[in-house]
Amino acid sequence: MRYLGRTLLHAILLLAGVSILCFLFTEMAPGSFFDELRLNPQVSPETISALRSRYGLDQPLIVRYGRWVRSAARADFGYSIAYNAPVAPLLWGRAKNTLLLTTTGMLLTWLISVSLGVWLAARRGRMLDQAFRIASSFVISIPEVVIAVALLAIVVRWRLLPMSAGPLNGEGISFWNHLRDLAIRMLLPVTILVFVESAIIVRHVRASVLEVLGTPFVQAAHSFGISRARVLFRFVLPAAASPAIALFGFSLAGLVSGSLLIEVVCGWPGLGPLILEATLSRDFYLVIGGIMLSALFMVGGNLIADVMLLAADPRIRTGALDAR
Amino acid sequence: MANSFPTTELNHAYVRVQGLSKGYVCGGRWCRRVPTAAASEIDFEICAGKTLALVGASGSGKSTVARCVTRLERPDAGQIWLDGQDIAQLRRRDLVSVRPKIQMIFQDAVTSINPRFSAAEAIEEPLRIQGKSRSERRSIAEAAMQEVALPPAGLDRSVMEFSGGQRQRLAIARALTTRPKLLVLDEAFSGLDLSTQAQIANLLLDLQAAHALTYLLISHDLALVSNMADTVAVMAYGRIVEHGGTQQIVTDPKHEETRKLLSSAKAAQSQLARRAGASA
Repeated sequence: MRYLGRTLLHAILLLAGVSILCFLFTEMAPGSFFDELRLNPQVSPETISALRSRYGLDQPLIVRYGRWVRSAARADFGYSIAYNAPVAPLLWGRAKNTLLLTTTGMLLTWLISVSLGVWLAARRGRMLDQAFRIASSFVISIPEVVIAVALLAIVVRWRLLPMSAGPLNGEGISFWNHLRDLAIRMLLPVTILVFVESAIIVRHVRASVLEVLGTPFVQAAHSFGISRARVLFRFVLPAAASPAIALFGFSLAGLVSGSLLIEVVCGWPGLGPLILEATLSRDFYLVIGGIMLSALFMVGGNLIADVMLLAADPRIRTGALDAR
Repeated sequence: MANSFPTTELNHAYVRVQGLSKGYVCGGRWCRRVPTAAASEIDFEICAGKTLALVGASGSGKSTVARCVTRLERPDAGQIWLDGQDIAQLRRRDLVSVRPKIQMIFQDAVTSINPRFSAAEAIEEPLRIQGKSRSERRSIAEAAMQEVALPPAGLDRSVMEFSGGQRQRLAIARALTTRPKLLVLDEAFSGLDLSTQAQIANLLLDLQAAHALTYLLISHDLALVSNMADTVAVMAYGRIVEHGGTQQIVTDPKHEETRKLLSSAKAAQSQLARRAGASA
């Protein structure tokens, strides 16, 4: 319990640190939301300075940060100048779409990666294993955005997917039509996510299963005549889970930030396009809100992974107790 | 290769290995594959209730032989007669009835037991596949703990809470639950301090006397095995280069490899004696 309390305190300090750095970096970044207005001769400098004062941009950094903290405490997380609305509802509306995409992608990725990783580890050195290693090295070395654009080009060129024009929230159409529509819309971005993430996770799962397969306690289990399936589920998988759980934490952490580029490329109405627009127009509170949401998931994901590791690995429990 | 190992009738030899060979292929599918013979034309036999020590330097192939005898590996050629049955090429499902008769004690006591298990889970695991009931398993595990001089109350503790020497005792207790006839001790003493080594060696000798166990003792330490083994086979480069009675090997080594092993064992002993003298 004390270990968890300490981890939680670290998480809060980390979030505070991220928010301070965000403010410092946005202060250092050139330009502001009203710079384009300055180029317009019809807008007087007085109007611009009145607007700056209205949104509190004329205040010193420390005052703005204090206001933002108060706003965060009210769960508003600042005020978007471009949308003229509090940041949190804006982000949450888009984050729901992003989470739908990334959660589906993550579940599929882990389902495929764990099965494929274990299967390849059992076939170490064979043709398929070698082929996968080369193919995954290739996929990992290509930037995600290039893969996304290439797959998008293939889908468009050969018209592999039907057009989908239904509303994303499914208003006015039946449940099944909505589900079908959603599946069509999600197919390409989810495929890209699974394709990119699996290449990395399968390698990790394969490596940790291989490591456990060679340990004396697994060999001892074989020498007792225990069936392969029982050795796999009772001995190998629990022992190989620790590195995979740590990686699962990163997957959870990337639920908000992992698909931003893919959303932009595929036109998915999630956080990606919103934060890109906000960055280009220097709507800084919205950008800071996006970064904080991503940091929150990063910290939360790692916290969940820590708890899972604590439950899964008695050695960490002992270590945590020793550290008290 | 000298083939003058003192042979006895097959019915007296509990284990007889004849012409055992095992090789590995180094290199991958797309690079040059180099076959390496880890063990070639290995012949030996162990009478019931006796100990054969297979000694050699690292990489001499002794662990490969141990893994073939326990059928963790399938040999490329040769026969392994166990109680009159050749198990060298038996299939996995046919080995199920043979497995309880052969048990292996691994080099590293810490990693040879699943760290996620309690002592009871670790010891009872081999009994689960034999379909023993919960109460039967528990009573066998308690008896095994007593045999290796560990308190039965420790069964509910995590294996993480046992020391290295205690874990080696746990590994022996686990092996005893299947009532084996042959114990393969693969460097079972390395990683233990001298007094624990002596305790484990005494325990193994007591168990051998009590259950008429046959031991195949794998080690690189000729001095240590000379106290336990009835016969010694020295391995080098995947072959047995010298074999005979323990006394004969220790007092009158014929092969250069045996002499090297003996001199390094003596050097290690004198170094230990010097250290003990200095600390006294």
